[in-house]
Amino acid sequence: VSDADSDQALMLRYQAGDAAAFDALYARYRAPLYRYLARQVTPRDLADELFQDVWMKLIAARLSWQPRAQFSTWLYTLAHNRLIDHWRKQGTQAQVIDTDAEERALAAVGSRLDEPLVNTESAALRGALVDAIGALPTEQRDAFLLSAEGDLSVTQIAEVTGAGHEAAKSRLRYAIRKLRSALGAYA
Amino acid sequence: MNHDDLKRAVRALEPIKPPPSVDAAIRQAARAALPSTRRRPARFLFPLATAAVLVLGFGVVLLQPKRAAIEPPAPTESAPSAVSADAAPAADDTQHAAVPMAEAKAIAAEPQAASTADALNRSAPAGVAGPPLADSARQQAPASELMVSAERARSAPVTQASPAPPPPPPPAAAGESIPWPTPQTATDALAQPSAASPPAPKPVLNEPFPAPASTAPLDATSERRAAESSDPITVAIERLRALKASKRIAEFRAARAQFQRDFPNVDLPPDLRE
Repeated sequence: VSDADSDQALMLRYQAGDAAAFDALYARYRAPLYRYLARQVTPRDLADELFQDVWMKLIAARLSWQPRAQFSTWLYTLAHNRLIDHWRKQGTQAQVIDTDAEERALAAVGSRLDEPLVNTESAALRGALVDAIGALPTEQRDAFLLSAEGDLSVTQIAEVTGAGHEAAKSRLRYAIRKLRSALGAYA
Repeated sequence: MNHDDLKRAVRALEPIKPPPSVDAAIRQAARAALPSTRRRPARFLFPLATAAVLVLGFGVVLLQPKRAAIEPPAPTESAPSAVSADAAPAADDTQHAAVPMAEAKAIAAEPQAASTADALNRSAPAGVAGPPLADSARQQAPASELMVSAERARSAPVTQASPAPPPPPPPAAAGESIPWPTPQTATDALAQPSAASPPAPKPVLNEPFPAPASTAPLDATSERRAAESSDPITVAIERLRALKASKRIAEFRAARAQFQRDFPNVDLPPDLRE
């Protein structure tokens, strides 16, 4: 197994019974997928549970995977659906975009940036970015994290979330604009 | 700060990773899922093997009664070897098996036919009147014929001597079995019961044979030859030929087995062997 092997080739080999191919795929996607989940749910234990569920589902459904589907799209679709299930179970619907609430959250991030920096500037930026991401509406945050952590294109984001291409593009654009606004001091 | 800057900033955040226990659990699950795929063929092999065993066992059980009907019980060491041992007849069900066995033993002792005939004379009940068996048998019949006829003669008085004579065998339905022609020998005449005694059921040589499966007529030539011949061996051989010619294979095999039991020292003609 080498780094040059494509996701499709590795997945096909895993389907054929090669456990090493799965290890390679797992090493390739474990960190970004975990971050994608961990930045959307708290506490961390819950992210662990969701992360494990996603991979278990992938293992169970490995024979149904078709090479024509991109592996990353398939993996993040599983993760997105697991998140939806979790929110549905928690009674948390996708947040309706509330402009006032957004403004309040982003203002809070901005006010924190105005605080005296006890740590380095980068540490303040990291904290502000985490807070700004957390303050995004669910759909925008999901679209942004799919792009930033999963490195998915707008088309792939639309496929994963089940939204139209324009809707996905719009969500991503709004998310970037808000984050840029919240982190203006570091721009 | 554009989109790429934001992506870089997000990826530069504190590296959070899944705990090693989660990693281990996922990798273990991924490996555990693989052998189950390889075991899949065994999942259908086991029911297949079970079904095959059941089918074979059922087939053997189905074949068992047929074989038992064709093959008589094997002779045992405890079977009566002397003619006098047959004085007490067995039950009706076992009579078919016991009599051919005694006949086979008696015929096997062909050189001692004279002494056996004497024994027959001795075993005849005192109250049954009739000419002596031995002399006429020696004079008019070959050894094998003598033995078969002597067996018939023996069976009649024995039937009379039993306290509850068995019912006469049911008459064979037309076309169900092929009766063996009764050879007209001197011993036959001698074997007839006296006028004082009630008529004994006439033994029929084809009793041990199973009923024929088909009613196809036998070869006319063979039947005619069998009717003309008075030698029981010849009669039996002609009957075997007739059965074979009429393609009644099951009956032919049963009759041949019976022939070999009745006449163990007589070689079958080549055309009647397998």
